Amino acid sequence: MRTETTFHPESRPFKSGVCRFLKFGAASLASAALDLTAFTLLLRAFPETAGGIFATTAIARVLSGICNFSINRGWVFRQSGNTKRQVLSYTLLFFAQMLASAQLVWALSALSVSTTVVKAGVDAALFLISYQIQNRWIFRNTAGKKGGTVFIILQRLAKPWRWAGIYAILLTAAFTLALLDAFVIPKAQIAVVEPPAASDIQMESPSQAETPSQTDQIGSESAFLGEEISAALPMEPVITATSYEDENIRIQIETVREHDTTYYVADVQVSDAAYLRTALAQNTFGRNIKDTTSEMASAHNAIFAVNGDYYGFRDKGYVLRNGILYRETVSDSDALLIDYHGNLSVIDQASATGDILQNAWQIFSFGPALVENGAVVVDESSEVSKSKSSNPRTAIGQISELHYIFIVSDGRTGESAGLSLLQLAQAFKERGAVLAYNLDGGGSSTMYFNGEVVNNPTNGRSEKEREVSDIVYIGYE
Amino acid sequence: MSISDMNKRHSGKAGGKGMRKTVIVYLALSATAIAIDNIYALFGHGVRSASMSFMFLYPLLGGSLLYFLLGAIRPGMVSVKPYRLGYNLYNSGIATLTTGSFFKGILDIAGTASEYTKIFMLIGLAFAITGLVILIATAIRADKKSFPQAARGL
Repeated sequence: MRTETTFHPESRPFKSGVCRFLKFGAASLASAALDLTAFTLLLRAFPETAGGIFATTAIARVLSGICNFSINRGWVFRQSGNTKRQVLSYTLLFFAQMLASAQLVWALSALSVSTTVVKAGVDAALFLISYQIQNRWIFRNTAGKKGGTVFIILQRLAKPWRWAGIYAILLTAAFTLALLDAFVIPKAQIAVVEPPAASDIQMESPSQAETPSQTDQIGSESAFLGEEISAALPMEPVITATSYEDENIRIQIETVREHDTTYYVADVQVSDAAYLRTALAQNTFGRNIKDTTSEMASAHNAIFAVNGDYYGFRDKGYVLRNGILYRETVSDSDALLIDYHGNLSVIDQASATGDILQNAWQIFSFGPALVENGAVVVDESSEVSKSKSSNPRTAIGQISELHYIFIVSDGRTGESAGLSLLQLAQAFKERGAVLAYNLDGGGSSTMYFNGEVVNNPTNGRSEKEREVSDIVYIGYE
Repeated sequence: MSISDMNKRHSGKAGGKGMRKTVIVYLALSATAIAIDNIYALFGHGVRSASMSFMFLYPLLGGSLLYFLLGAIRPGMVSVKPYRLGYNLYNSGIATLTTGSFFKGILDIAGTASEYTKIFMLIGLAFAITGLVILIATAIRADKKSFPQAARGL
């Protein structure tokens, strides 16, 4: 008896599967090359109008589609069965893939990711899906089976829980990705506008009239008055646990117990607005780029610092720091503007025009305003978004020219309930503030002084300093 | 198929049972959505979001109520094609809308926003509307199958 051994490709499924996939990739590349070549050649035959380009694209696509179908049928999947069914199925897939690519790229282009990266990802995913569809349905061996491709797809998905299972996995993946995008994945962005020209700025101090040139690197907070400030560094500041004083900066910190809450009041006087500075986490503007207030303050040798408006947690609202405009989208809240003279004012973001921005040294978008023209402008019902009435708070106010007041309160603990916006506003008014503005609070609220965190930052569960996007600080660097 | 099965199918009893199961699952999902909102509120420092508080309405009104009505009006449509396609698409739409609402609630409570909320709503609406159209078409078709003479105007 003689035994015959037959080497059929399917006897080694893994190897033949890999081989088929590679062939499929090669066929796709060949079709793409044909598409491009046909497009280039046909472009000479048609006028370069919108209609001409559309016709050229369509003809090139159809040619490359026919080529791809033939190669896949004869060489990649080695099929010779029901041609009519295969042509119909392939045509459906061809148009579905084009539509899906366009729609997905359009939908995902809303994300702040490069469109090229989005298109590459979408097309790669569609390529894999297309392979599976062609391998399993369009060019499958149909001998002895009835029904078309669409029928088979629907039949398979119609089985109880199959669709639900696949969709649940996709939805969970999308939800996780969306959460990561919102809270975790760092995305650096560039500044909108460079610092204004030197001639456009009138500083309080004549010695500090120089400003960065237009050639300064975008996003850099480098050298606004840097050399002059360094030259003015005091030799021997007088520092205690609650105060700091040199010839340019005077800070006095007071701890107050009121409304079942401990809060900290910093009275700050500077000789020039340039000492009232801001810093971004990792010196980079963007979403989910964070650092603790104390780390940022330490990195900039700040004498005193509080958390800023946590701009990176939102997509809207003006962000202008140390003269650089980073974001110019309008949010619903009023913004705080600090001009080059160091004066605070509250502006309606919708009316922020070129003249207003030209004089801006810092802009914060949080709010609300607590005190304006010496009068409290919030009441018992005022609240930040959907926040509850008592919270840890951070706010900044101005008493007079170059004389500021910062208040940070504890809250959400057994020892401190937290302050309402009205209580916070009254604290400013009692200390003579003519204007005060609420910054980001809750777990973000942090006051830093001489290398130490003054308050008790907490998220309500554990006492831990939260990482934020930005700080306001007093310092020389 | 036995004669009793055929009778059940003809009278829509088997379909009614399938619909009833879907109504119960959606009621359970509505209860879960309410529970999630309340558990989340425990950790939200008293901050609530309407998007999260009302997300249970999608499975309750969009799910339970719709299938209850369909089950009452057209119990036999379960066995009419393409019921399953409409069912799958519509359920996917409701799931996407509920998840999108939950996602927006999380962002609202945290005080932030994301472009993804629009994508969830767009895809959810597209699925739900497509599925609903197919379900309604199936219900009409089921009606004609049940009463072919009436459909032909005889």
